[in-house]
Amino acid sequence: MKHLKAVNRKARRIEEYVAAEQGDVVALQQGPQGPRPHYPAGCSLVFSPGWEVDVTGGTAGLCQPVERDLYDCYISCYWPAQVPDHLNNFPDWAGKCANATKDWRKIDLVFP
Amino acid sequence: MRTILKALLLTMLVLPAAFDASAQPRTGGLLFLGTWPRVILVIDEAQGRVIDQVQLQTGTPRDLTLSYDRKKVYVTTWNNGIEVIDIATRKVINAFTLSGGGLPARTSAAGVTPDPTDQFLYTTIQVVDKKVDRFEVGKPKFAVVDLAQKKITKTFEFPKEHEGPFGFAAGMRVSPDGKLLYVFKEDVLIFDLTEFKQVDKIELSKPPHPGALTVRLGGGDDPNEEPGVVTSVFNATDPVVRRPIFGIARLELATRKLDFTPVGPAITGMTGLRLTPDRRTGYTVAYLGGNRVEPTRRTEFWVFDIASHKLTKKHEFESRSRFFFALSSDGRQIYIYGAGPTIEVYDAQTFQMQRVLTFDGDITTQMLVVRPSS
Repeated sequence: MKHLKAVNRKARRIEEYVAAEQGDVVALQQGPQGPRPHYPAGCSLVFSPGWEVDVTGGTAGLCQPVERDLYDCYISCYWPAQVPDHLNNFPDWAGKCANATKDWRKIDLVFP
Repeated sequence: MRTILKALLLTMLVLPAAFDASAQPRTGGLLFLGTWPRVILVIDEAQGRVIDQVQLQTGTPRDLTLSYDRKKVYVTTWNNGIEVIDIATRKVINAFTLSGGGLPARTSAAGVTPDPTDQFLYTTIQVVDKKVDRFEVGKPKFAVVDLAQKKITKTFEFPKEHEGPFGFAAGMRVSPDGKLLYVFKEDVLIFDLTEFKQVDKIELSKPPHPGALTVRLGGGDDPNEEPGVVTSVFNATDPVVRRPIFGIARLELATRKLDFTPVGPAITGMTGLRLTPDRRTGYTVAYLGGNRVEPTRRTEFWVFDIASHKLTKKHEFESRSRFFFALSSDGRQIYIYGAGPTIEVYDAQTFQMQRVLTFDGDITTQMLVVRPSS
């Protein structure tokens, strides 16, 4: 990033915004920003909550049990590396299992 | 005279009980809820059990919308399908997919909003064309779906400043005269429906970062909302010191009249506002101590007096990692549900959990609460 140089006003505003995030002067209402976690290699970069870790690097923020999160991730292709994708390759992956927490053994076994 | 006095005394003793909501028998509204794999559950609120299941024809349910006349439910499915369920008979009376109708490939239709005649649905789409070696993702567009012709009849380009990757990830409403479309985003954008030109904008908020969705319309439809009116929790920016604040706003769709009353400093997040049947009280869930996906965040029920715009009650509760919130049709129970096959039912006065309803399938949509009179 150090080789990139802002050439217009929008880019300079982005630079200022990023620099402000690192700064030690914050609005009173905002509070100081804590250190961000280091995610394990191989995790996806979106955490809402995460599949393997949550936004803090732990697991307390994940759906519990994890099967509660399975179908939303599958049907929206939110975690295409961890869960089969519904749209393109595996539309019938969970057709025989309505309740993932209870009947997860009925979920199809698929290979990429 | 003595008889009259006795009658008056009796009336004074009986009347308070008559106006006590908790003393009234449950009215028995219906809950419509999409579940895996292709089912809409119909739940009787009073009995707390499933009384019917509607099998869908086009795919897994994605979103539920109440029709303008409140007699039908529009269901969008993950396979680009639209189905119409008649509430009285609980049957699918219309079903089709949007992939036909001259569109080259897959479309992505999330929520829909009906026009006052219930002949058309307005939505936003993004056409994805599958090529041999790649997908070509088109720009998001407005689309008009003709329910009789079962296809998209018109599409309109987005304004250039809103051509983001997800288009309008925001709630929409049509005015009672069918001429205007309200899009609830950072500001309230108003479009003329004949040419889809933006004719007005109600500026509410400067978002904390570009693309942030600061206006909360809430998920699903509020059965107790006055027709033609949107009452919601809105974020805004203090015009003097530019401080983010939240408040309660009431927008009349026919006249574009907006009443916004600040309540307090903006917090991390809130769910949509749900009203009791008398529209005097509003409920929401507030996230505190972190955004909604952080494990350290706390959740509280917040109760507002709508007339005075005051926060009157708070109660912390333990919530699941990801959830939706709804209020029963009589305003006496709170539903917390989503991400799994269960609904947690809380008493709206004491905030104590009363029971957990468990279903055979995982929930895939937000809940649609239908009043008995709808």
